[in-house]
Order: sequence, then structure tokens, then C-alpha cells
Amino acid sequence: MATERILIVGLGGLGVPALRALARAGARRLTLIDPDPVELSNLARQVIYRSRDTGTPKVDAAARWLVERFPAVNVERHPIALEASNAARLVAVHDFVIDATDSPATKFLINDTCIAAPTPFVYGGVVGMTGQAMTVIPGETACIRCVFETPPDENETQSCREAGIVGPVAGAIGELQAAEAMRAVRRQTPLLSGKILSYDASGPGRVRIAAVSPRSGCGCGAWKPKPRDARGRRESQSPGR
Amino acid sequence: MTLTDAQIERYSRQIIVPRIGGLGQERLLAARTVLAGDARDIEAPLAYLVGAGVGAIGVRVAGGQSGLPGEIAAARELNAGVSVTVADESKGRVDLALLIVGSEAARKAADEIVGYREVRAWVVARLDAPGKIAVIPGGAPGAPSVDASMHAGVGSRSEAAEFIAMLATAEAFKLIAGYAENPSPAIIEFDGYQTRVRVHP
Repeated sequence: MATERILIVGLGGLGVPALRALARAGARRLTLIDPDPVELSNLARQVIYRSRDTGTPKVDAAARWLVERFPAVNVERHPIALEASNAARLVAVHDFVIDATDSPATKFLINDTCIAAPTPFVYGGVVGMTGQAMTVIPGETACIRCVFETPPDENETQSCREAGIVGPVAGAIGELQAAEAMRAVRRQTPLLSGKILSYDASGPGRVRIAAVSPRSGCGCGAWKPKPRDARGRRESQSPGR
Repeated sequence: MTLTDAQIERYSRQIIVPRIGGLGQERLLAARTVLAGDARDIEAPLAYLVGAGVGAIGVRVAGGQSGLPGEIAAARELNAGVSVTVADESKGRVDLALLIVGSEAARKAADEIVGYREVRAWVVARLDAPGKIAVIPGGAPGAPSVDASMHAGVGSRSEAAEFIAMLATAEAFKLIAGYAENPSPAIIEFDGYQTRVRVHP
């Protein structure tokens, strides 16, 4: 455990609760990447930052919070965006990746980089009163492209800036992402590998978990042809979500 | 209460969520709440209530401490506009009590709050397996006893305990903000991380 390295991409509504939960659970080596400074509008849900942190790079404010409360945690900071030019190098030196971004393009970059590495990761998304999470074990379980195929146009998706976000909803998904990371680095099977969890808080909290099958046309390598049955026919695989 | 420009900017991402709006934020800022449970279980819910701008939060930490442990008191640093104090019934009405029950000590602390006379709404979370949340809006009869099992002895901890606590916090947030027009009492039962919801009309 002490040597396992976890990379958190994004230190916003998801990354902050993930970081809090990881530190509490005993993670010892965390790498933080986020290009943004703390803004006043972050403080309602990113509950490690204080008013005096506004303008400070999130990675610096988060590292300071960690060091004050969990001095045994080794923190590496990258105040930059994850991009095609740096993703492979960063992912390669980590044992698990937490996708805590809100950009579809970055989510697909994390997916593709982790599949190639191969490094397991947990996807997370939250907007308004809903959130999702799914863990990907490269070559074994369905990946993000098995589910969504291609990134949506940026103007097709609602961001938190437009649709809003509620702190505890993001907090629940971030907590879950941290729990998945801890299971993986402890050599346990993550609960959401090959499954997607959906949380809908618009009514009394409804949480569903659905299996996600690898897609035959996806290049992630998780899809395996089913053996032929007694009549020589292939058993059909259920389609992806 | 009229929101200032700084408050609108600070809480903008939750204000723009449909059915919260400025009125919901004003309710959050004006709310008087109580939070009870073990320090480790209420630290994150407290941080989110403070962050959201819930005006006054009385905290009852399980285990008999008279003050607030350091990690709980540290939540004050997150939002100068929120008051975090030791829970005290003599301070009068409580708009919502959020009780996080993860141990026998927490159950006893919760029972103390249940004895308060002026609590309008309740959210009670059981973190022992399989996990359960009772959501009891203001005015519901028999509060907070909508489900007798909520008062049972505390068993082994659910693997989803932290997740359950956060869902309970979300339910508390919604009740305080007036998110649903006429919310009904509900029991959220967990099977691992999945839930089944029983609504009591």
C-alpha cells in the first residue's frame, strides 16, 4: 500500500472528496493534476479550499490541506492540464487513475491512455442532481468507448457551469471513486469493474448498478468472442449500455 | 434575506440547479440544524453542510466529548458565514436534524437529539449493513420513528458507509433548501451501494 501511486485528474467537485477519502483510508502516494486556481464559486462544494485559497492553484491548496492533516502522505503536484502530450508519461508511473474531470475530451484521453498503459481507472461524472461512476480494468472490462464510442460535442453536454451541481451529490461519487481506487491498490476486485453506477438525487436517493459488456467493435481488447454452443453457434454478447 | 453579490457568486453552482434557486439558498443560509454521530462519520457531512452555507449547525459528537474535536472544529475555516457550535437544545427550534448512526455511541448521541422538542425535519442514516436512511420532512407524523428498525442496536459496518453518509447529507440538503414541493417521508434501503426507496404517502 505504501508504494502504490494514485493519480487524481481534476481537483474539483469529484477530485476533492476522492482526495479526502483516499487520505483517510490510508493512501500514501498521491499525484494531483489540475490547471485551475481556486475560485469563489468552488468553495460551496470543494470542501478543502478556504476563502484565502482563491487565486491559488488547486494543486497547491490541496497539497497544503493534505500535508496539514495527513503528513505521512507523499504528494506530487502538477498545475497543468492533462493533455495528449503528457498523459502517457504521467499515467505510466501510477497504479490507478481517478478521472475526476468534467471535460468529455479529457475523459476519453484518460480512457485511451489507461487502456494503452495498461492502468486501471475509475470514471466519474456528475451534473445537477445526478452522478455516475464506472471502473475500467484494461483488457478485461468494458471501457468508456464501449459505452459511449466517441466523445460528444462540447455543445451537446451540460457542464456544471450551466446545469449546476450540488456538493453532497459530487461528494458521494468522489467517495465511491476513492473506495474503488483503494480496492484496486489492495489487490481486491473493484466493485464497479464492468459495471456503471448511477445516482439520481432528484427524488429520494436512487442508486442503480448495471453491468456493461465490452463492445465488439471497440479497440480496448476487453471483448472476447463467446465460445460456440453445441450447435456451432456463438452465444451472443449483450450489447453495451 | 437578500443574497449579496458575493453570496450569489459563492453559491452560484447550486443556486442554478433547478428547484433550488435563490430561494433555496436563502433557506439554507437561514437554517438551524443539528448534526450528530461519530467524529469520523460526520466530518465529511459537516464539511458539505458548511460549504453549502447552512447557516447554523449544532454538532453533537458521539462519545461524550464536551467540546468539538479539532477535525470537526476545522470545518469553521471553510465558511465564515456559517456558525458551527456544540449542539444545544436551549437554542430553540431546529429546522433539520441529521443523525449519522455508525456505532452504539452514535446511536446514543442520536437518541439525545431525538429528545429535542422543536425539530421540524429529520434525516437518519444507519451505517451498519445493509444501510438505511430515513427521510422525514417537516410536519410528518411520528417523526423520527417512521421505521422502527432505525432504533435497533448497531451491527457491523456497511462497506458503503461513507457513501451512505453522503447520500444522507444530500437528502438533508434537499429538505433544507425546499427542493421538493411536498416531500413525503421515505426510507432508502441499501443493498451494497444500490438502493430501494419506500415512500410513505
